[in-house]
Amino acid sequence: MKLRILWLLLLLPAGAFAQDKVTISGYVKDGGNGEAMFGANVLAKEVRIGVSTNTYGFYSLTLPKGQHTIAYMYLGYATQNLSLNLQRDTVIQIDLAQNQKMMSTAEIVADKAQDNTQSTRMSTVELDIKDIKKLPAFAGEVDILKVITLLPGVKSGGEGNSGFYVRGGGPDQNLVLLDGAPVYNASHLFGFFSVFNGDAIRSAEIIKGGMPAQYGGRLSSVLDITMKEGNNKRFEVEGGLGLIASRLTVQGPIVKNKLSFIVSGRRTYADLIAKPFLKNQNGGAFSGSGYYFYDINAKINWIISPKDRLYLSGYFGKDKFSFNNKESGFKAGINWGNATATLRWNHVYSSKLFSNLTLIFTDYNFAFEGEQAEFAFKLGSGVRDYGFRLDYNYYPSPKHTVRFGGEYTNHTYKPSNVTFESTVSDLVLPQPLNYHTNEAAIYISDDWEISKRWKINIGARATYFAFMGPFTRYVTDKQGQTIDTITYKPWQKIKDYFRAEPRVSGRFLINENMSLKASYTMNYQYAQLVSRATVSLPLDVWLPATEKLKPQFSQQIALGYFVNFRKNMFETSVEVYYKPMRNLVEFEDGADPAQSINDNIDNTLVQGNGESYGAEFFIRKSKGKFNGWIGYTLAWTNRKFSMLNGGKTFPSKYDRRHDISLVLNYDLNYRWQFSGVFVYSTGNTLTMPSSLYFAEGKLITEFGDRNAYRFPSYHRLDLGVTYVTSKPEKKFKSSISLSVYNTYSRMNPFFIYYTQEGSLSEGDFQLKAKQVSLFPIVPAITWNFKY
Amino acid sequence: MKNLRIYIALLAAGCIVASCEKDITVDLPDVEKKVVVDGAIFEGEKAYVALTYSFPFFQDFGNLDFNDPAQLSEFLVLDAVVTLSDGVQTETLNLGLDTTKFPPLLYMGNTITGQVGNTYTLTVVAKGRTYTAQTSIRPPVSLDSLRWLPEPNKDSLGACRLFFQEPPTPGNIYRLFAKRQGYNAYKPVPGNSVIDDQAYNGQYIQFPFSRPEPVSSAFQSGNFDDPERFFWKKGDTISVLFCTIDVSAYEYIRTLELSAGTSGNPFSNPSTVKSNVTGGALGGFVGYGKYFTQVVAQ
Repeated sequence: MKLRILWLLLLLPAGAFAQDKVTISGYVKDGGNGEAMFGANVLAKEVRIGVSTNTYGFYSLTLPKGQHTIAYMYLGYATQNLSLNLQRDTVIQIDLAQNQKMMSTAEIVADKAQDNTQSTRMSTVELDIKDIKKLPAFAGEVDILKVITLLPGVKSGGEGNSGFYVRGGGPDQNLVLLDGAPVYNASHLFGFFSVFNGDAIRSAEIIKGGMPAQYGGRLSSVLDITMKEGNNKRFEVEGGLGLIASRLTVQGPIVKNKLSFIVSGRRTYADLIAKPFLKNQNGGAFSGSGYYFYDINAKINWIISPKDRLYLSGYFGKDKFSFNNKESGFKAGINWGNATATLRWNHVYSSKLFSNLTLIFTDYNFAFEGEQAEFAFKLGSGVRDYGFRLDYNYYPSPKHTVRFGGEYTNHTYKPSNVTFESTVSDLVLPQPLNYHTNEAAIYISDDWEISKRWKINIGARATYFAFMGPFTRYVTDKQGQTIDTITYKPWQKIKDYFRAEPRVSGRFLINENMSLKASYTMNYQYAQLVSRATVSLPLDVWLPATEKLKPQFSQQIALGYFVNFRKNMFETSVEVYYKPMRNLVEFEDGADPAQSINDNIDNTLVQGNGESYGAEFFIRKSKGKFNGWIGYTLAWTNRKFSMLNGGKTFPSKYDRRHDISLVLNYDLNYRWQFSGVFVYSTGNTLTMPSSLYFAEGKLITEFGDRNAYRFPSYHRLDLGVTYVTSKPEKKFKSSISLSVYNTYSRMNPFFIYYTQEGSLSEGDFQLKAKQVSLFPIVPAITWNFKY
Repeated sequence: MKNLRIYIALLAAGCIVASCEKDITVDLPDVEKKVVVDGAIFEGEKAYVALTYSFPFFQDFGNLDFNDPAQLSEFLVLDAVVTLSDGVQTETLNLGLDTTKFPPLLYMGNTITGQVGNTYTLTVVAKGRTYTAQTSIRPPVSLDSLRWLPEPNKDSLGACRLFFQEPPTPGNIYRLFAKRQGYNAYKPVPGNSVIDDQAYNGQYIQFPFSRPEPVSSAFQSGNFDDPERFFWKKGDTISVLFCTIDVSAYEYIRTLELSAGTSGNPFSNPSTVKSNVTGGALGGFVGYGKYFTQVVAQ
């Protein structure tokens, strides 16, 4: 009912102007492969009114009746100009052709680069997979997540950690979406690679602040990754052979221009990674051990009618690690993987109203199995979501773009499933405790151009969260001993939260090329990754808000100054932000994370507050043979928990003062392309021991203040060169890419540990600190082809 | 849950093998030394308390001989006044020598012996500061049996297993000490020597346990390759003290063993030991109810 009233309100102003205005709408596609083009600009030249296409390539532009020249523009594509005498609502589908030559600057009236200063959005960066692929790739594997961390405000956790940290938030505060489905663990191989296969991805967008109302559920960022739709013009085979993995992608039309598909797969060469290390030890006692991962992306795109489209997309990936010690008879296996599936239906109700219905499934599973003599055990964790969302884009007039909709998700969190088998024991372990939650949200936002200078985006999001049975709560006393248990029936409500999240952002245009922007957002988060270790491992478990854990909460204020130079050749921005956070989650001191049988994990967690602030500087040149960006971040982030560090404020693990990244790419000619990446950052923080003492004849370590110590700074240079071996006119294209990771072999710290040398009874006892680095220089070569 | 630790150890091993490692110098700020209380009272026995000072993490010991009590004076609190009360009577503990313990100089009780159901309060006055700790002795739980089981492919070596019926009342906490007959003193079993009945209340339980090392790893070097390490050997007389402890003692020992087990491990969070001593001292004071039994490995 509420929704219907909302509807009426929105339709009213549109009706008032309807007589003397007409609307053109349609899809903008890449003429070469039929892929939808997100963010293409559509501009009525005479009246200088424009819009950009949505994620699905749809646009709607309302204009006065009469003669117009409409320009369709996208960077790297030839602009199409249409001369039209508009008298009624018109649907215009556009195919843009890729431009081999650079656009002449005269041709550019308005283009994507202008969004930098003109749009109300801030703290947002879009990356095209084509640009990502040009950069040097670690071990030859193109990785979106690694490139994201080169942007200001986004920090990498370091090597062996594919988690990223946005404006002082944790890795679980990023909403990572693959075609709309949340991905709970985006890493392969203990974090060295992300699960996103570069060949299956079209684009990625990261939102660090000023989060639009259609997104929610995470405090710090949205990383929205869109898969390719599949070429609906012709068959295409694309692939690559690398040192550690190979890829193959097949795409093409099933029914030309109507139905297309894409399937993309990737697998590592198992034995090359883990086995040599294991084989050399103890004369092959560990043979039978190994590691590999694979993943598959698939998508079907069906244009049912000009008004209806259906997309079915899925991802499936798995990591398998096995360990075998013949001598002790100890066998272990670690398996983890993600599966996501989305079904989306785009419907154009009218030239002004576009809708998208998405059905979402996502599943993340982790299992550790071990076997020794007569004992076998299994430790598992995971998350499973079923949900749907319905989004509407409504374009009542060129001055307004209204988005509204809602979503619902049913989550099952399986933080710790332990099974135990033994031929000699009949120990009964209790049933695993899953956490069932329901999460729903509705939102509305209006992007409103008040005047030429002023534009605002005002929105709101309302969220409802309920933690439901079946569940057993172990009630504990101050010392953690169970004093009572409460059992909840299926669907019995244990705790619910209802929250409103206002969002607003605005732009003030100083002149054509210069603007000031500001945004304020409020966010609630109803799930968190509980980290059991100081480095991020697949062992970390997802846990929802409960009656004991309040939802995490943040506010963010950001201000920005945006300038484009040299006819949009250079986009620059300076942003400052302040982000206070509440109800962040950590393990209490001395919690044994393994202890979860007949207890609830949230009984050992504590909540506290945090804050982040900083400034980000960004210069990007997207055009020309020589392109790239420079980013610099100056930031602070700290935490305050009454139960940790004696209640004193302490820096967060990823509190890094300076982060610099330099990304350069040079397209010399058709054959040669060069790239380089340099990063420098202040070291991560670390808790160090402060003293030792004797207890029960053992040496015990006492730790100093939390995160009071800093690793040495991190810096690295990567270089890449691509040589195209095929001739331009040939259909079969191939190239060889050479990448060198960590060119000057900097020994960046991965972790520090201590070892004891000598013994106290012999008078030569000494403790030594050792620093372990993961990767020295890593050269890699990849052969890529496309047909 | 040792499994998790095995996994972490595996990962750590893999990383270390595959990567580059170097010695570094870490500058740590100076910290004030603290008093460490390390005491116990067993059922039927007198209390004992070692008082030491904590010392900097990268302490240079020179050629200090830790077996010679005379050389340890800078680590020992020798001028404290230590009193013990059982709620009825109070006694002062006096310095004495027990070479089976470390440090060998201890404050020892004279009259009060541990009794089931009693609560004991320890008061330490040292360098003008007062520290107190409280512990109680819980009723012991008896074992059904002990059984030695040979390890496959290990000739005459094996693990020992204990069997017992866990009482139906929840809240029991156990600590296991063991020794090989003919070797000096009882030591807590390796790994986790404490367990509560949270997961196993009222069940019939069997538990494997390894042989404690005669001295902790800080006092020995180079015998990690001893093939008999942690195993009980055929023919050994295996003696155990199966003890019961209270909750605050459990929290202290659990976190102490967690800390000792993860010390230096980069994959674990730094863990703080939950002392049951108030007043700013480290360490703990633990009362034990005890059940004794032994078996010959065969």
